[in-house]
Amino acid sequence: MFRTCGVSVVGPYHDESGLPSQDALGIFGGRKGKVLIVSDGMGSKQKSRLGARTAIKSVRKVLFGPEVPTSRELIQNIYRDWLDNLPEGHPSNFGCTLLFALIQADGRATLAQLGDGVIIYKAGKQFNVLTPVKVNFGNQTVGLGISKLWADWHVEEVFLQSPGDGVILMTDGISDDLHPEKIEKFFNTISASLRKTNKRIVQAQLQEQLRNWPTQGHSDDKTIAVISRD
Amino acid sequence: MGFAKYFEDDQSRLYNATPIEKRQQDRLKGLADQQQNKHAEANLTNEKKEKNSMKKLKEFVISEPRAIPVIIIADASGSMNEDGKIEALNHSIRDMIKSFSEEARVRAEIRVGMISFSGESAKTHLPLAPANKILDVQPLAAAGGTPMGKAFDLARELIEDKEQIDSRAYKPVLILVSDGQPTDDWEKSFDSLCKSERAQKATRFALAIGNDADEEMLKKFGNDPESPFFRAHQARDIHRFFRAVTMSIGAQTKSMTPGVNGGLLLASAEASDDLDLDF
Repeated sequence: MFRTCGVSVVGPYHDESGLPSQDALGIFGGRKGKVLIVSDGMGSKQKSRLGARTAIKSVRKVLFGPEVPTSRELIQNIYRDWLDNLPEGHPSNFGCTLLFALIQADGRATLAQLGDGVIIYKAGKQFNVLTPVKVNFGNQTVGLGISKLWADWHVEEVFLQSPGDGVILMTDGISDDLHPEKIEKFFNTISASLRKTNKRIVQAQLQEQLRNWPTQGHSDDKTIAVISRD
Repeated sequence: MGFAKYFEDDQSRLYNATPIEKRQQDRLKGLADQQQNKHAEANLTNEKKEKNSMKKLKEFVISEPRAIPVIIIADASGSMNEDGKIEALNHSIRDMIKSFSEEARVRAEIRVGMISFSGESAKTHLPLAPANKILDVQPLAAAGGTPMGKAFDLARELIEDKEQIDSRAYKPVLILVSDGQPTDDWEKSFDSLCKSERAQKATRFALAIGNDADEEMLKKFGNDPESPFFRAHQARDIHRFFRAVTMSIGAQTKSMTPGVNGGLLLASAEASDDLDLDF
């Protein structure tokens, strides 16, 4: 059995400015399995909040829609649906990152990412980071409405076959402040909590942690989605 | 004798039926309660443990703020001795550092470093450090030629050094100040700076001091689309430039997007790698 939870909190910058969070989160279950989706509207883009929310809907619609033969086609369909559902204006005004995971009942999973944030996972008890190591700097990202390059996407098919296997998606408001050498332990702690504790308690605790984030001067919205296999 | 009401359970019907039954029932009830309490305590302990482990999420999080590196590339050639230029530059840099160190409620830590070039070499005049920890800056002393290319090399090496500027940092700001023509092979070094994966991401401002500065080169250096080329004719213009840069960086540190001065750059693409999209 797979357990899921997700939390999104508005960051101090938006909170103090009276603005809503630009992050969006979706966790859904359906015939095909479970879907986790995280999107971060780009701060400099006026309508990026709407872009992020539209991205959640598009991913859900396409992933629970008809099968497509390749990941590239899947992502193309998501992108097209996103473009079709934007209101008037250039797509770059709605620029946002996109991270998603589709986990089928038997454990087969598709993980995909465009832009900042991090996807970490354990498959067959082996820990991995989908996201390439960041070479450049914060606030340097591509996203929906910004990049059309297939090469900007990071996609993997994995098999969550063992107890403790799972996936965590995070926006960069969280991932940029994690000690890189402790990220596996971070995964294990949250994943174990989800398997052993009531989901509502885990969500409440995560929310408290994200609201009281210890990094000095942190400003960004923070969103995390977790799935773990019993 | 009456019939038991239909909703009575067995326990209540038998309870108190005889003293022996009552004692047996109480004993069984006591055992059941004890077991229930043990389960409840175990759950509470588990929940406490999980709460504690979630509290320990702090151990995975870096507490230091993210940095905006600001690197000044300062011309300390002999001509800067004229008309109070080097004094104005020294004052302006000190004022900028002081202003950064006094910034409150910032979302990023401003770190300042300085590379100077004169004679036939360039050197790190001020190692990169948080502005509020810079107690004093040794004044620049002007002499000799204008080896700007060597300064570009040093700047590139500094930005590429992930121990000095980690990937958590916001994109660096480079500020080039010069009053003359480069006297070394600056183009090759500038080209390397622009091609470096990290250094090319830096925001670059340029200030030309006086009429002898290489305007063409300095215009090429500056890359911020919202900041025009600056020229200083008098010492006070140098102050104005640095005040403007100080305010701009200070504003960024309070914003949602520190390190972002202009629009995002669109990635250029090979036509064959494009997704098939209409925009």
